[in-house]
Amino acid sequence: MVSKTTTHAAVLFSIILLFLVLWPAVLNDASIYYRVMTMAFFYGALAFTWNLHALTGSISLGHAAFFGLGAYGSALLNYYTQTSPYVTILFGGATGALYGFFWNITFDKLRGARLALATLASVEIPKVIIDNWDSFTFGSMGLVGINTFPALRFGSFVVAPGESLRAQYYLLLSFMLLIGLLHWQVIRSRWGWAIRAVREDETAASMLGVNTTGARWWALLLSAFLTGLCGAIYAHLIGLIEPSLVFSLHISALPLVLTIFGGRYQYYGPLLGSLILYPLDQLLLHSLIPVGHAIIYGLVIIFTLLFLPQGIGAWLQQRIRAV
Amino acid sequence: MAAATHKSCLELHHISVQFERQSALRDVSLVVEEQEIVSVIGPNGAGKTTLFNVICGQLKPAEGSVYFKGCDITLWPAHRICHAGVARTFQIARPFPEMSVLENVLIGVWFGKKKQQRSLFPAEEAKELIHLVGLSHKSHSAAKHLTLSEQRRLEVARALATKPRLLLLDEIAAGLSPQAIKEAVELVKTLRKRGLTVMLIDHFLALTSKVSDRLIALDQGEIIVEGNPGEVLQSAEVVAAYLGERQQKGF
Repeated sequence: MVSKTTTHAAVLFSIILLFLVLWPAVLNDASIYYRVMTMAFFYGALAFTWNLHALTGSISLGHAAFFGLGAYGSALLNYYTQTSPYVTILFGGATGALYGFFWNITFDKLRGARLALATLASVEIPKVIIDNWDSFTFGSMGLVGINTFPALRFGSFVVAPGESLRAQYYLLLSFMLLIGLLHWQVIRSRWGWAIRAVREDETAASMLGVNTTGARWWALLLSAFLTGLCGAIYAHLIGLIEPSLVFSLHISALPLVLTIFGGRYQYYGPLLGSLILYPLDQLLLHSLIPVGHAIIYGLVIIFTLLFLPQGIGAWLQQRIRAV
Repeated sequence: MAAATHKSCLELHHISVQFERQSALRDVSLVVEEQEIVSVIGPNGAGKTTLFNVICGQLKPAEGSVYFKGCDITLWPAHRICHAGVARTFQIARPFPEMSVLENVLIGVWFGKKKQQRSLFPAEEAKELIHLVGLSHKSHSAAKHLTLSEQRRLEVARALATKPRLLLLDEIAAGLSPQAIKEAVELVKTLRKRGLTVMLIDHFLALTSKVSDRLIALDQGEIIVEGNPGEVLQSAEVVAAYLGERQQKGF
């Protein structure tokens, strides 16, 4: 039965992937499609990284802290030293991970709602500092004209993510798949089982020899690093960042919404959420109700929690199993 | 190495624990020898479970130290104490609710020991333990769907999966049928034959009198009497503290 479900999932996944890879070739003017789907992939990657931490059972409302620090870390390093963005984004990730390390120390004893509130509040610290340190970070004016990713040349084949929407599309698709693969491998690994045991009963897990602190700490560090990396990529992709943008609640909340809608405990949950919800919002609702289209996220989260508490992924899995 | 010199399995030296200025354990010292079966008895709130929490590292004592096979484990994190060979069950079963019975036990097999000592055939080992506690027919059910007594049996299997040298059983007989209690008695005896040391908490004395080599009676966080079961149960202090409390409560 398990193998049957796996086969179905593999087939479904391949179809979606083929569609995503080939569909742009069919379109005459794919620019809107590219823009929307590139961001959908981006938020998909962000949802995966958010969920790496959420798998331990903790809900973070403060991942924007890692995102913003990653964005600023990379953009400022690039601005002051002219190091290539391909290198500075790693520094951005490290900045996020460093803040994650402080979370680990400070919030170690907090769980549940108290942890969620603490994480929410912790976004304000880097935001206020960056907002007010005008001489170094350009304060609330933000950084404008950040260097985009330079073109990569492979013989005669050129990938120019700075200019070409198509290059961005395929790069972000690959990035999301890579993070998704990592997310999957983490869930399958021995560490993934430790994380799952921590999520289901931390005390019982520690009594059975699971290093619960280690499992939680590394999950947050990895999640913070990758979220910082996402922030850094965002900075060089968009070319403009300001504190209110990269430290916004939106950045913390959207991955949460996408993941909970898609299914927190399925390895493909965050992917489902981002591929369904984000394009739905941008392509359909944005044109129908230009102001307040984001209300969909609020409604979806209420609907999901009420009727599909395990997310649409788990629901689909049951349907597939029943076939 | 351990066999050459005599080391007791577990020693507690002057353990004190405080909750919000109230002491839960006061200057508790005790020794448990290898392959001994020791029961800890006492009324509700006497500090029995607190004592277990201290031994397995879930709770750090304010004063005193815990020695396991000659090692001071007082400040070790819980998972390390488990690796050293201490396992426990909980008074109120705490299975991983969304995992199957098999997965629950596998967690113990996978994580209970350090790498070098880990089983080469985890699945076989887990299945054997599930068979031992009579849950084979439920291997693939989610733990949350088990009855209370099944959950308690799962706890025992899971604790054994970590290959302990010292097993702490917290009220495994509470609420069990006479038949099930008989099985539990047999199980404890089997475990001792396999070389385990067992400590029991037994509020209702169902197991205690049948299997224990020694009884330790706690009241208000202090050891009041210690000795062989017959003597302890007859002693005036125990009757006053323990049975007296029971009568008051209308048992």
